[in-house]
Amino acid sequence: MTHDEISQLLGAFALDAVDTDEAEAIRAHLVECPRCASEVAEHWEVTGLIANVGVDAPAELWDRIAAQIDTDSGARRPAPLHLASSSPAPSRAPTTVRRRLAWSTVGTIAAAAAVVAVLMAVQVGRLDQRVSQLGLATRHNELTQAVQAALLEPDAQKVTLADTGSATGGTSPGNGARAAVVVVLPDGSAFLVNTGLPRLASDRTYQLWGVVNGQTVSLGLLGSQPRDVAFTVNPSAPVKAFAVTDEVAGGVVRTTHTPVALSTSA
Amino acid sequence: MGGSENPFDMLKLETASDAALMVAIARMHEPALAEAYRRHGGAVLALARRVLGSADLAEEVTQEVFVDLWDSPERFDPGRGALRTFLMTKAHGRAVDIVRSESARRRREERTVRETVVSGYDIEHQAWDLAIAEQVKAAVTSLPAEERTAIEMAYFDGHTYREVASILGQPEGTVKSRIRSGLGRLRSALAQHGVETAWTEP
Repeated sequence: MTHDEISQLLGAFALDAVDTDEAEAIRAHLVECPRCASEVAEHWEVTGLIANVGVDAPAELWDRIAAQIDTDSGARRPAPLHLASSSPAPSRAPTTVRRRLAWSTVGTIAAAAAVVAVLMAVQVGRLDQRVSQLGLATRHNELTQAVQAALLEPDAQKVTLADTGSATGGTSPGNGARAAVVVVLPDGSAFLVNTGLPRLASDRTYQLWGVVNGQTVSLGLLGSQPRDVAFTVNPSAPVKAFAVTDEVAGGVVRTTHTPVALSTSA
Repeated sequence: MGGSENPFDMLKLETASDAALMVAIARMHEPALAEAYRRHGGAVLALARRVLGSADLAEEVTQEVFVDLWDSPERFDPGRGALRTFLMTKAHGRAVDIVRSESARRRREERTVRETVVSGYDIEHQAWDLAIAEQVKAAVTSLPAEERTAIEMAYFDGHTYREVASILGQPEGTVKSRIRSGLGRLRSALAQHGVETAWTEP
C-alpha cells in the first residue's frame, strides 16, 4: 500500500477495525513514518476518552491479578534505574547501612578529614567529573520520577539530615528541622532531596560528605540551591553518616566548616 | 528506615504520577501496579465489557492487560501517550481479537441484553468523570450521525470497517474516511472544550 492508501486507513486502524494483513502493512509503515504514527497516537487518545466509563476497578479482580504475578514471579528482574550518574553496580549488597553514627562537632569531621588527606587527594580528581554528572542528572527530567521510585523501594535506606543552625553563622542553636533527606538504594544509587536548605549566594555551594569506613569523603557538590540530586555510593562500603557543608563554589577537598546539616542518629 | 515520622508523606502512591508508578512497576514494586489498576482498571474493564458483552471475558482481558504491564513495562513508552490510553488500546485490541474468534462470535450473537456495568463511583473518579464526561458526550453528539455510527460500530461492536460498510450498505472507502474524519472532528471538539486528551494525574 502507498502512504496515501495507508493514511486513509489510520482511523480504522486505531479502532482495530482493519483486516489482519492491512494491520501488518500499517504497523510496518508506522515504524518509518512519524507523521502517520503521530496521527494514530492522536486517534488513540480520542478513543481512550470516548471509552472512558468511570467505574471502580473491582477488588476481586485485583486479587486474581496479584495472584498471577506472584505465581509468575521470577519471570523478570527489576529494571535498573536510568540515571545520568549510574554506573554498573556490583551484585546487590545486603542493606546493612544504619544510622549509627552522628556527627556532632566539626572536630570530628576535621579529625577524620586529616586522617584521610591522602585519600581525599585521590578523590578530588573525581570530583570534577562527579560535578558534571550531578549537573546532568539535575537537568534530567526523569530525576524526580527516579527519586519517587527510590522512595518506594522497600530496601531503600532513608536518612534525615537535620538543620544544625550553623547556616545562620552558628549563632542560633540548631532547630533540628529536616534540612534534607538522603535515599540510598542497595545498588549504590543515591539521591538527596532538599527539603529545607536555604539558597546560597551564587559564589557558594553546598557540599555533601559521608563517613565511609571511618573516613570522611566528599560525595559531591550540590550547588547553591539544590533540589533533587543524584549521586552514587559504593554499595560494599556503607556510608555511616552524612553531612552537608557550605563551601566556596567549586568545592573543597577538606572542609573546615561546621556542617549546616547532619544525619540524625536513629 | 523505620522511625515513627514518615518524611515522605508527599510521595504517597496515590499522589504519584503515572510515570512515577511506571518506574516503580519496572522495579517490581507491586503496590505501584495495584495503584495503576485502581486508577485505570475500571475503565479498562468497562471498555472490554462493552466490546465483548461478557463480564467474564472482560475480566480475563483486564487481567491479561495488567499482567502484561507487569511483565513488560518497557512496552509502555511515556513519550507516545498516557498510560490510560496505552492500557485502553491494549485492552481493545485483545477484546477485538476475542470477538473475531468464531466461538466468541457465536456467544455474542446469542446475547440479548447488554450487561450494564454498575458499580460505586469514588470521589476522584466521579469528579473526573463529571467534568470530562459532559464534554465527551457533547463532542460525540455533535458528530454527523454517519460518522458517529461508523465509529461506534467499529469501536464498540468490534466490527472491521469492511463489515460496517456491508452492514450499512455503504462503500468501504466512505466508511473508512468517515471513521478517520470523525475521530479528527472529536479531537478538535474536545480540544476546543479544553479537555486534555492525555490522562495525567488522578
